Amino acid sequence: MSETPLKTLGKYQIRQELGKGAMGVVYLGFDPGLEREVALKVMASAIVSDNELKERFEREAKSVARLQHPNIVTVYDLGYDDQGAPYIAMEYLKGQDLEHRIRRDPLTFREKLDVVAQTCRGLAHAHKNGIVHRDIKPANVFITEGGEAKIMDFGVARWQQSSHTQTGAVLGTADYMSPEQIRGQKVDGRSDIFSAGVILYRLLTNKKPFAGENIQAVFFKVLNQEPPELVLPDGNSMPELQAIVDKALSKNVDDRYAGADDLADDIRDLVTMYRDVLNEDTVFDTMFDPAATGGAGEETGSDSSGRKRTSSTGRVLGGTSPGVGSRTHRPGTAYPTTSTGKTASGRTAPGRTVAGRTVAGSPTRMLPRAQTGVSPAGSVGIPYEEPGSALKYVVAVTLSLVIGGGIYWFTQMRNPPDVAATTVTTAPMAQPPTIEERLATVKRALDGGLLAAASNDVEQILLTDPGNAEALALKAEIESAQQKGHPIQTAQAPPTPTPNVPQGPSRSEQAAKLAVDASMAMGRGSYDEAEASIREGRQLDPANPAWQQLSQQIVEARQNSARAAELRERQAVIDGYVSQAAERMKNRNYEAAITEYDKALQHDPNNVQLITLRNGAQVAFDQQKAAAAASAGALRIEEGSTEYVPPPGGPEGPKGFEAGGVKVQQATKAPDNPGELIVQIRPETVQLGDPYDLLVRIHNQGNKPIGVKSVELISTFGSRTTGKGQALTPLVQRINARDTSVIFQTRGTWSEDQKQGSIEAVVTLIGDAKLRKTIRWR
Amino acid sequence: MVGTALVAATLLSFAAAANAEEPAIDHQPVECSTPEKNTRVCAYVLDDGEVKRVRAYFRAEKQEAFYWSDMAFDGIQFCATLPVAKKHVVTLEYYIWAVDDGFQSTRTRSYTVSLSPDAPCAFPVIDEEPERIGKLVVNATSEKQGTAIEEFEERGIIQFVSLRKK
Repeated sequence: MSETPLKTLGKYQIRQELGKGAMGVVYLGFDPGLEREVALKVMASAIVSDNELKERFEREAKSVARLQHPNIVTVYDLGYDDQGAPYIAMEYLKGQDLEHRIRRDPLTFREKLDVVAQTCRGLAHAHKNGIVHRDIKPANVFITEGGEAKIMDFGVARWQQSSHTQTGAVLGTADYMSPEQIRGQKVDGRSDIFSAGVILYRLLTNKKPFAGENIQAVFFKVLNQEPPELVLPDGNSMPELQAIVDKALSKNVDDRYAGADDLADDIRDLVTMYRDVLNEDTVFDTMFDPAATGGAGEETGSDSSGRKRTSSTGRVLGGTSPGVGSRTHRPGTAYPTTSTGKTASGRTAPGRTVAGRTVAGSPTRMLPRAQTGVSPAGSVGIPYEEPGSALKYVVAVTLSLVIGGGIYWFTQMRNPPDVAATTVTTAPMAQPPTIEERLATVKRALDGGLLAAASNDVEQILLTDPGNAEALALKAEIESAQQKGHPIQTAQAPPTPTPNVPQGPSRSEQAAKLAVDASMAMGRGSYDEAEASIREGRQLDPANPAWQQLSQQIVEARQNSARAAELRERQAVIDGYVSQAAERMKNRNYEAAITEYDKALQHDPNNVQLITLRNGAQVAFDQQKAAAAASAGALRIEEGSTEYVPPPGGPEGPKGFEAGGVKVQQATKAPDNPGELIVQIRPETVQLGDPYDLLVRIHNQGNKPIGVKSVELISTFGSRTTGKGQALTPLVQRINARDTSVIFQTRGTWSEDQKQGSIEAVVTLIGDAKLRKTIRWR
Repeated sequence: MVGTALVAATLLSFAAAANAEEPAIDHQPVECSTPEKNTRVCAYVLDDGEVKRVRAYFRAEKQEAFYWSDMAFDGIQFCATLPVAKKHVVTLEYYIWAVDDGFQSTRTRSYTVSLSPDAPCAFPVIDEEPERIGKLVVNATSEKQGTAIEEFEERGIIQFVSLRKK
């Protein structure tokens, strides 16, 4: 492929580059024949020569081309450029992939469920067409602007009946891989269902269900541990959802949903169940602050609870759950329950024991950190690479049987620069022996008199395939030989005539077991234990290269662990400063907050979140300073009280008030004056040459309307006045009881003469009583 | 009679003490305005007594006599809206006069307002308040000014007060 910018590709016109991916570049193209925009995925020139990747690329096109479904990206064409590099023309979608979407724009609870349900519909269609995606993850689910979920990147997909589905070679993304994928076993559509379950779990909790510090730990958890109980961001559990997730994440494929449609249906039923309590806007994103995960990557299991949350809707996902017990459950979606209504994992299955329960909790939304300037968790992540993070590693997992008994180890290697960060790619690796090969090994062992090894091997075969006639025959032959006192030999030592004595594991078997122990110990983070196993294994089988690889992995894992510890320590220091800064911000001590942020930045100068927070504090500080400066220049206005001046010869008090003899309820006892005059200069921060408004209001405190005849505004500067005797026409002539009205407003320009002075407002009421008030400023 | 005269003299002396100075006029001159618009003239007028009258005297170029309009108190300043000068008029001349309740008066110097269309005014002081520009009262200062205003448009002028005897 040429390195110069492309203008056309086959019949397509290139319009712009949309992005670069693992396998190449994606362009926005235009098909002039059909007059439509297309996305053109062009294989990177650097990997065209890699036949396997090229084949994978073509496989994607061919896989998806067989599929026509609204939840699967549509492939139009597979072509080749002048240099023979393949490209795929596919449906051009506007939106973003789920990985980006959930980091940038939290989904509502409904949307989360909907996205997974749609994904499952697409998967179901693929599975029905014999295609397993094998790499279902948020980055491979595209969310269109219209909210449609579309599965993309079938680069890892294999046809279910294809001979490619051998055991041993593991493809997929570590965090979303099913147990059978990790083991390198044959996978079917249920593997994708597991991955969809991981997505569902992550969307709901913002945590990966099998998070670990390194890839071994992830694999260990996927293989051996149940995910942490599903806790919604509001802190409550949701048993129906728990059961769905449990079923999707069952380690045993037979316990999982039989089809992706079944999972989608259960999600749909759940949404239906909660339709009356979940409105479209209900958001459970409180534990997921997009800004919070941008730098630090995924949380690796640490609980973010304790973050302060505020209710956005005031609604409670509660009330009696409607119809839980009565909903229809189709065959194939039944939850494996015990007699007590528990799933195999001990959790409550939906529709069985939870009918009529009340799910309490408040759908809540947390203020974005940028708005509050406070890190809700008190943590600003250091954008470091978590050791073993799936984002930075490509993992080749080899399940290989060596030394007769089999060693099981994981190989971890660095990601080549142009390969998808989260994709587990194929790597040259040993294929495990087939049953036929293992039977041949047994025969050779038997022929060579290695009865113990032969016996052990045949038992292993029978564990896998209990009815294997050839294995049963060999087992009988071995037993016969043992009974006849056939000499027993080992690979390391000449046979010792010990007929009829049960034999322990062979050295090779012991070594294999030690290798597995070492791997598992690494997965647990018990490096000393792993090293001990390796030392022991080396003594048994010094020539095996696996020990070197395992040792190297331990070295790297230790380094990563040390690095992680160092970063955690640094993070703790930064968190301390950020916490202090947040406190200062809360107290409006922005300058001190800036100091704290600066201290934190000394530890991580490029931390975008810190810089953002620091800038926020700076802005607040600047505003505070400006406000203080303005305040210093504000007029200091002294306001007198409103004086009531009765009309000449009239009653002492106004009519309708106490002095007028009108009965007024105690609770609304009116003051002596019917109205309060309010004289204001706006703004109070008016400076020389600035315009200002002079406003006169009357607040009618009485129970009768006030009539206004005229207004007089007498301004006094030093010994001189203006406005005396100048009757001004009021803007309104009637102020209703308990009402406040502006009766006069005028605008002037503040002059030097007005540095200090006073304004006396005299309002003549109907009946010639007056209200008088003076304000003074300096 | 004597008592009455004494009382009157006492009152006058008191008034003089309380109102010893003529009004002070603080005015930002209008240097230019927009042709065919009503120019607005305002001033702060302060006094140690009571400001009784404030007037704006104005005339077009080459006119001998001034016209005048009352400047009304707007709560802060005294202001007058001048009638629209005819198209050919390129300058106006005006001054402000004030008198207090002690009959002491003062006036500003004369100011020239440019109305030239060739020199657009950056900060024209014009009045576009319909309530004001439609209710102008203009007074003559000389019998020679006749019964109709000259060099100014009659629109908006609801009353021209001539000095010519009918």
